Amino acid sequence: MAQTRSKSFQFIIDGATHGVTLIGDSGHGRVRIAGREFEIQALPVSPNCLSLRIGGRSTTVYLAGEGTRRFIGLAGRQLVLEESRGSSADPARRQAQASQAEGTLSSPMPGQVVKILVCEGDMVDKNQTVAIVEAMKMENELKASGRARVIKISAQDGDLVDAGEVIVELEAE
Amino acid sequence: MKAKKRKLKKVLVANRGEIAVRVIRACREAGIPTVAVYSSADSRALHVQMADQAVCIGPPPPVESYLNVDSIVSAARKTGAAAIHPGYGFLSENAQFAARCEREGLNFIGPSAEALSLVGDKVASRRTMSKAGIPIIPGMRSKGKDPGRFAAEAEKIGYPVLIKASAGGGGKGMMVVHSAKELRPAVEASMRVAGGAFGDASVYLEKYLPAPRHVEFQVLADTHGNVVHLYERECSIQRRHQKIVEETPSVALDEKLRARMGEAAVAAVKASGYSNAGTVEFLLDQGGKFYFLEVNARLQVEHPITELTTGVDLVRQQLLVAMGAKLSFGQKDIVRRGHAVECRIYAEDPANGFMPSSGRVAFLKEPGGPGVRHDCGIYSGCEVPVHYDPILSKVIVWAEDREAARHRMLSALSETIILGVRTTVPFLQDVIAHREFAAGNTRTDFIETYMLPWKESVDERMLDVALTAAAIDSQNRSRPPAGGSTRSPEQLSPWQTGSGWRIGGE
Repeated sequence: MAQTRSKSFQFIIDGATHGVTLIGDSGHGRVRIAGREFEIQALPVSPNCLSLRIGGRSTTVYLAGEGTRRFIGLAGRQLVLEESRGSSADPARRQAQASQAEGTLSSPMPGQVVKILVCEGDMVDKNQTVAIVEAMKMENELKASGRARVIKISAQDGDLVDAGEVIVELEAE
Repeated sequence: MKAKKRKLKKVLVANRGEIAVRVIRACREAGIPTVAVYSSADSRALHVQMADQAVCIGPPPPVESYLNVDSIVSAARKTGAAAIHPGYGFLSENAQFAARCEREGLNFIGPSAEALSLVGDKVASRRTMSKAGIPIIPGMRSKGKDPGRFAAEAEKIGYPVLIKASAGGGGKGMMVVHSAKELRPAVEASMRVAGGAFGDASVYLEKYLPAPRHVEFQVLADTHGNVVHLYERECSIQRRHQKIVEETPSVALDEKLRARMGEAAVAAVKASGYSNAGTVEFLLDQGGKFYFLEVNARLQVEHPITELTTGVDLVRQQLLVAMGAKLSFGQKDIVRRGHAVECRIYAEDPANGFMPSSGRVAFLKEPGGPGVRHDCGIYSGCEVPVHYDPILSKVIVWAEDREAARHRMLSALSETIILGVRTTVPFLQDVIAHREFAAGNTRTDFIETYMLPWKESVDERMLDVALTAAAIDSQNRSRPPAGGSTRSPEQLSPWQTGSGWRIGGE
């Protein structure tokens, strides 16, 4: 007798966690998502392409990934999924929270620091531009979210920075 | 003129990305060997792979590589290239570079240095066009680098005003200013961008026209005084003053207006002693009045839509003009057919203020089918460096009429898969599908008015498919290496039995 096996996965898309369970035995494949269940059939077309029949409709899906990250492309759109393994809070979310932490201004993208407009010890007002970062010829102004004191400046004019890299630390008054 | 009337023995392409690829192909078709130049960030770039020879011209920052005149001229010397095609952006409209080429006996594939310095200086060219009787937008008749001077000028013109880089193009350094308070920081920021992008920080002010259409005319001029236009392109769909969707014909022109604007475009080219391919840009206000904006003295990003509707290969014509050939057709030989649309694919996150998204292209699938053209500078596995303009490729379609072209574009975009970096593809799909776009209500404020704030709409079906595909992929990856350790029951997955992942009752 065929034994039904199942395996569950968790993926984070834009901060929201989604569970998905693959259920299958030698004759049938099904998927369960948020309490709904579909029959599925999957045919790998190439390492980056999967022909997927789900709930009676066929779709061609493109996929690539590195580590726990999956890029899924279909119909010109791309979904970025972070696979969450284990029960601890997922790293992607922790990182996102850290970069938004009160008083920390970090680069929104990989780029180059054009200008730091403050000095350590300065007081800044809400919406005051503290630094300018440029990538691909687009300037982005990093602004203070409220009145604060500049505690630490971690980059200089001309420095190359990664996305999320802290540039200026502020302390709210 | 000494560099003219000669065969192009070998062409150095002083650019990168999709436009370098486009030019290399045209040269290859003409039997002309090519030399690519590249910065150290681009050693694996597509244009480098496609050229017959490639020379590294410096480190990643543009000023040290793609804007480095000495380095590029020396690459031409070293490889025996007799001509330089500048593409668009970078040195394409730099008169000093063209002059240097002329002095070195290199054939600059574009207008003469003299014509370039006239039209390249937006302020001088406004004066010339005004004298030639072509309407211009009210604004400064001289440029400046002193931010203090601008306040008085802005008061005179009246807010809102537009700051523009005198040597500019592509919207770089362009900013709208609504009040005196914003003026100084905006002028400074604009000058920084202009200085970095064009090596000239001069800016000037113009009256800001609300919600005009951007309509431009393609022109071709040989070195024997023959000038033709190849009709208009409407490029009103812009973000950050940079075009992202272009089409031809424009729904806003009737035959009378089209003829008048075409004549003005030819007059503008004649007034500036211009040769080779160029574009005369106009703004068309809501009352149907047009104003000269600028001459783009180069091949435009959006040149393919003109190629598809007129059947004229503009890059081939550029090469012929540079060889000293006469245009083989006159104005009345240029017959237009059908409708063409171009969508520019940028490495940007449209859901996040069009933030640049550099990184590795994990996978690329190009669109295809009848009437679909994909001018592309990337490939699966390539890196998109942070240092340059984030254009990745252009999807261009042709069909019998606008509505057919619109549907063809939607289909082509849905076939365009770029994974690993964020792109404008989903945003463009929503633009082309928008009923106001379908209705032809395309003005330069289209994106602000109809599209922002934008969030990618992901329906349940799409989410189900993505989650299922990702789960299957994870399942597959968890398979231990062949001949590896003992498998646990969980790892003995039914998803891997039989032919690969095929499952279900077959």
